[in-house]
Amino acid sequence: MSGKSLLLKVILLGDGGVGKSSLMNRYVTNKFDSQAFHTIGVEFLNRDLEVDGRFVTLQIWDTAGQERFKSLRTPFYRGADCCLLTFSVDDRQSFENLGNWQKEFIYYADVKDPEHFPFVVLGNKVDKEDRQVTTEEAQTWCMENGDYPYLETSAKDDTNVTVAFEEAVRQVLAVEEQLEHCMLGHTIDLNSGSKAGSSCC
Amino acid sequence: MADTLPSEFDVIVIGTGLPESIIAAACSRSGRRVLHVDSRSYYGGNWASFSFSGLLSWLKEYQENSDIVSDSPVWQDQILENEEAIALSRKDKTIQHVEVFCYASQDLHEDVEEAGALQKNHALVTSANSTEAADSAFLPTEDESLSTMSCEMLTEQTPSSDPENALEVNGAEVTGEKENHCDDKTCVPSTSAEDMSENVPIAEDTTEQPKKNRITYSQIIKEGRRFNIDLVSKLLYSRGLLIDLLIKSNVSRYAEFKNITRILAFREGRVEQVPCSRADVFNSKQLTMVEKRMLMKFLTFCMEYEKYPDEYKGYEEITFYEYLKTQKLTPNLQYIVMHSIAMTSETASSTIDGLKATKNFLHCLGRYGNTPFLFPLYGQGELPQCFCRMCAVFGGIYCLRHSVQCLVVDKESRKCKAIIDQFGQRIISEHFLVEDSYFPENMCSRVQYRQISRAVLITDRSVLKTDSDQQISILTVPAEEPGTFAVRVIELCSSTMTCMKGTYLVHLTCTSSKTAREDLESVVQKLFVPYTEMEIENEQVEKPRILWALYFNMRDSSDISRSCYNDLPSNVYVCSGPDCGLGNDNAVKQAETLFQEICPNEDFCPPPPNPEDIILDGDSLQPEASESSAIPEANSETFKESTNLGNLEESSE
Repeated sequence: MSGKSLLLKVILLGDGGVGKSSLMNRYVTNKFDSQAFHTIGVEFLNRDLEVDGRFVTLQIWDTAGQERFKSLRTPFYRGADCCLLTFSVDDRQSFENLGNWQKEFIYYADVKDPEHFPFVVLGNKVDKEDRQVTTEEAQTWCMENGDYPYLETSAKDDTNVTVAFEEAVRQVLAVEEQLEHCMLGHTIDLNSGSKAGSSCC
Repeated sequence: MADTLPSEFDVIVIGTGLPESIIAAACSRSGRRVLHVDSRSYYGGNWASFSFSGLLSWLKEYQENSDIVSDSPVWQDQILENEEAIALSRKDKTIQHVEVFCYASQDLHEDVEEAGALQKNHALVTSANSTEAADSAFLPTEDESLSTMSCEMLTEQTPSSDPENALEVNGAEVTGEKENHCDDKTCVPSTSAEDMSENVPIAEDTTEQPKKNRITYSQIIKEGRRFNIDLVSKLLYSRGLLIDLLIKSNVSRYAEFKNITRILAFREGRVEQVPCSRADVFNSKQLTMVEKRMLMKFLTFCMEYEKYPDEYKGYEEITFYEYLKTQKLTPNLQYIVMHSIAMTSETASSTIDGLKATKNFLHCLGRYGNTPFLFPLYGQGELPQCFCRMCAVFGGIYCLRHSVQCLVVDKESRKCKAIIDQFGQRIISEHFLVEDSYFPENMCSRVQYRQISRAVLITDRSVLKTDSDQQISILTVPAEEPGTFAVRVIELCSSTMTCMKGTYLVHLTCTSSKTAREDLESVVQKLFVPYTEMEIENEQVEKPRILWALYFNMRDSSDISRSCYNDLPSNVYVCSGPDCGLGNDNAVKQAETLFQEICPNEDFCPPPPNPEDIILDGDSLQPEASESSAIPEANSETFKESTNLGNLEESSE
């Protein structure tokens, strides 16, 4: 493949138990484990893809379980390019909490332009029979809260999983032109090589 | 659904300050099952940083803290016959003498909220209510507006300033200031009746000044999220233990840093920049050519002083301050070395201490920039959260807003067996790490705490004007009287993401001898002036103007022997709050020491396994990805292979 790849940080956000880790694992490893928790030591997984002729590396971040007791903060949120707000269609409370997760994300990620930030909403576990949230309800919420794309997925059945992540990329690319760059000046990343500065000796 | 916690862990950590968070990450990384809790709604404890409204909530919390009525403990039933309980403290007593001064002008009738606020009273601790925890995943939003809350908070302040200081303050503030009497709608700090009328004059002319925009209190509130105000003010030495640890553990992936751009000195009523790198020394216009050679010669010696013991052996019994006088340096150079390079105490530091500090300063020069120091973007309060994130990635379980009611101690072995949390759940563990402020008073009765005096100022310009308005500076003001201490001033610009554009965030810190305001106010008055209506017209004013000021004393629980805590079980370890020092070495050393006691002979925070070391099975690999471009700095680590992965297994270590 030719051309440089754009690296995008994508986070999956929502109540514990809605299937975020399963979605990530299905997409990156094409495996499903109904007992899946986040893999110890793995914070994100990468996958390359091409969307509309653009080569992209998705860096998909796992919450590492910090959302279970409401303890997610800036190290997870900051620097995200797209947020996949995820609920489970068989868990009404996880749908009701979407707005709270969205607000928390905007707050801790320090989003510069919340009205144009790329959110995608996923209704997961559509393989389940005892549905508590209808498609129409979810679509209405998405329209009312920011006109977000809505996709119904199943990590178990591999329904719409690839489509969901491709939609995330499309949303980022669509706002890419409008991204304002914060004038931070030069910052230092300890992982890069040292900057050669003048020294006393 | 409300998750319940497992009932057994290897390590339980109570408090999320920097030492606790580093230890939690290290234990989790070593395969221990870690539960990490904090009774507050935010990470960091006294290492935390807050938005402006978050800070106001924190202040309000300390006011309300004293009103907590302790209900009868419900955990008594769970204590067996062969057990006894150590009830943990429900009140945090580490913060005292809080005083707030608001000088920015007030816009009347404006009900202002912080833009994008997540929820009201974000930083407040919720009551231990199982129904609330079960019913909602989030704090309820309160109707009370921040402006109203701010007014209540400010009017509640009753600092105990004595009449002499009050008079002195009034004398300073009256200059150039007309009196205005406040009405009930005005939000004012209640330092004293006289101060109320003088601190916050109301402008009768409501039209904006044509030449310059005034910064108002409501603007600060509205832009409050631009502020990240640290409770403890520190910098990172570029070759210090914390930088080394961040790199080694790869926790640095979560953070970005800025270079401190200037070392400043305050001499003879003026602020000057201190040259410290070789290039700066020789380009300096403040030093004569002879002085430049003297300074370079002395600093070159300091870099290698251990090789030349004859040069200092005869001076080991005197202070570094006295030693400098013997080294043929001009008074100007002595000052620079003493207060801007070594930054040690004139009276308490030995010659060896001073040489060591000078060498360390020089050793840290040039690694990342022209000064030895870095500052974390968004404030020091980010760093505990970064280590907590690492702990969670390796399986640690995190619960904020989670109190521990007591430790359960076995009478026979004198070891701690379990905790009982706010829901009455008993959780077993082998080791317990508890931050100092959680211990009850009877356990700390023999501890002699020191105190740190702190001030936080929001100002409208830098103490030293230069071409760039994005300067990050450190300045040390020496102690003036015996029994007082040098004051460290750190001035942060908006590109550090700690304050809004057009303002600077200034932190002052010293060892306490009295209240924070008594210790720091004289330095504040030397460097800054209160923001008043009258002086807006006067372009001749050179000093920055204070829009808002906060003073408080913080307990320093560092370097306390565990034998000072009464009846401490052998498997309970104490983590201290922040110390007064500029760097973070104390916290990192404590974390490593305690880690070695819990996990002897194990590596302290080794880097996570490289992706290529991960054993893959299952699907065949796809071709390697092309090299990534435009990598966001916050995500600088990337897997070299990003193809389909089978089950991930760590290579045997």
